[in-house]
Amino acid sequence: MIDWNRVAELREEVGAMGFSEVLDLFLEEVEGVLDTLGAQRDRLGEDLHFLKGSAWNLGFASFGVLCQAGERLLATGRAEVDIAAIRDCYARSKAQFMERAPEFCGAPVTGSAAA
Amino acid sequence: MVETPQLTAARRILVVDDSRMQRRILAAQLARAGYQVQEAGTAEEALAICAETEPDLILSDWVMPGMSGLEFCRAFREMPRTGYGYFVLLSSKTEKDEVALGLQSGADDYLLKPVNGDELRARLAAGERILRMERELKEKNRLVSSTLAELQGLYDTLDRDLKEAWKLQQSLVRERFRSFGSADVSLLLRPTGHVGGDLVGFFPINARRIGLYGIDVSGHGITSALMTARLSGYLSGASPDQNIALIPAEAGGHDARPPAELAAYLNALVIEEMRTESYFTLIYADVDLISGRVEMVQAGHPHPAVQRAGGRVEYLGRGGFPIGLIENAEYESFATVLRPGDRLFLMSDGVTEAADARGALLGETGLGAIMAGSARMPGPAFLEALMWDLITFSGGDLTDDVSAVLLEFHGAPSSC
Repeated sequence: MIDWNRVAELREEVGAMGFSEVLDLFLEEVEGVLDTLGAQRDRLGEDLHFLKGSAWNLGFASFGVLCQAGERLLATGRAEVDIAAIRDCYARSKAQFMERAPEFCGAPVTGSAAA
Repeated sequence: MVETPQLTAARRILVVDDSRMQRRILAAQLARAGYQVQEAGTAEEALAICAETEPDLILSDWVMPGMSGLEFCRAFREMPRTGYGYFVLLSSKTEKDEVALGLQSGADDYLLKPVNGDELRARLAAGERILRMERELKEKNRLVSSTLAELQGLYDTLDRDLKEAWKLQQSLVRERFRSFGSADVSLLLRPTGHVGGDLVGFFPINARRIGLYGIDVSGHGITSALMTARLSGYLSGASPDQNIALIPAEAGGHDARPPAELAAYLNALVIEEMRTESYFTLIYADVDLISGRVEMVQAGHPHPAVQRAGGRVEYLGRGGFPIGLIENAEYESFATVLRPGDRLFLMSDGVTEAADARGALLGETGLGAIMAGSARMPGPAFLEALMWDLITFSGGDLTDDVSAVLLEFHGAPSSC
């Protein structure tokens, strides 16, 4: 569900302080979009694309895959995008991520980052 | 903020993304490599920044609300800039043809999200190499241009000098027409460049004889101009004592060396004393104003023409070696007798070797036709008409100096 290698890579790139900032921005931006996701149909594709990019940045792998699938489905126009499933996936991913978040926001990471 | 523009410092980068999180990550990745980072949340904002600060590198997201990264890239390429801007598109689009579309729109590179820091920095370093080369090339170009301007300045100075030299050279042939009563002498001197190697002139030998000459020094440059200046001193009418054609006469006054002897004397003088690579052709005529007898020498100059009163044109002489080319060259004099109404025409090869558009030369036949056409014109008018005829014939493209001496023989008054 979470790509911890990507999380470690990001932490390495931006540092501990930077990581906390990035996380705050992530939560703010992603949840801001999720709150109104689907309310405006003509924004849905753009929103899913935005969520996908954000997800991959922070290693939210399953959530990112689901957003991409929705984006593609929307492009074909053959079926409805399951917005509830996307919200649900995000909630579970966030819960899992938050369990280990302090490891990355605090002191420098030394040990293995693998889950 | 004051910035000193440096040739190699292409370090200002603009990050364009609608996600603050994405910008925060990129800014952190770039700061590590020492870039000066500016941020924009939309393409519109980015364009405003580009108009003001001209960033060296652009890192832009593709999908953004409002103007897309592609549209931004196209607009960016349209902007006037002093140097090239390196544009990298950033996208989480995974379709293969998207890359091609991005590059076709003017992007220099394409990176997939999520962006790996090492790859990002390596790609930008590659971009910087290109910018550095472009800037070096520009600097070299500027150097070449300024050097060219400097050379142009020097050339202009030389040009002014040559124009002055031209005036000076024209002053060597101050008197273009003189009437000796029984004969009139008219001169034509028209260098094609600034200074030429042609010289024409005349001088009185004594009360009944005059000397006429035409000279063509090899080349057209400064060396040949200097040579003509020196030769005009040797054949001066103003100071007979320095004129090497003249010798003291037994009864006082002056006599002239026989033409062939003058040619041999000049030949020795040029080879032994002047020691230059230049040589020249000469036609010299010793004219008796009473009897009409003309004794001449031809040294490589075109054959002199005699137009008889009836209109017929004869060419005299057998050629001869140019002066200063062959040591101890031998020259021979030849003579003709002018009758009233006859004229003697001494011309440089710029006349007979004038070429038309197809490269065909005027030749002696063509000159004969011109002379027949202007047979009734008096000297100066004849020479002017000749010049026009030559310009017309050559299509305005005369490549050689043109000079000529025309002697119109009227004959001595019967009372004399």
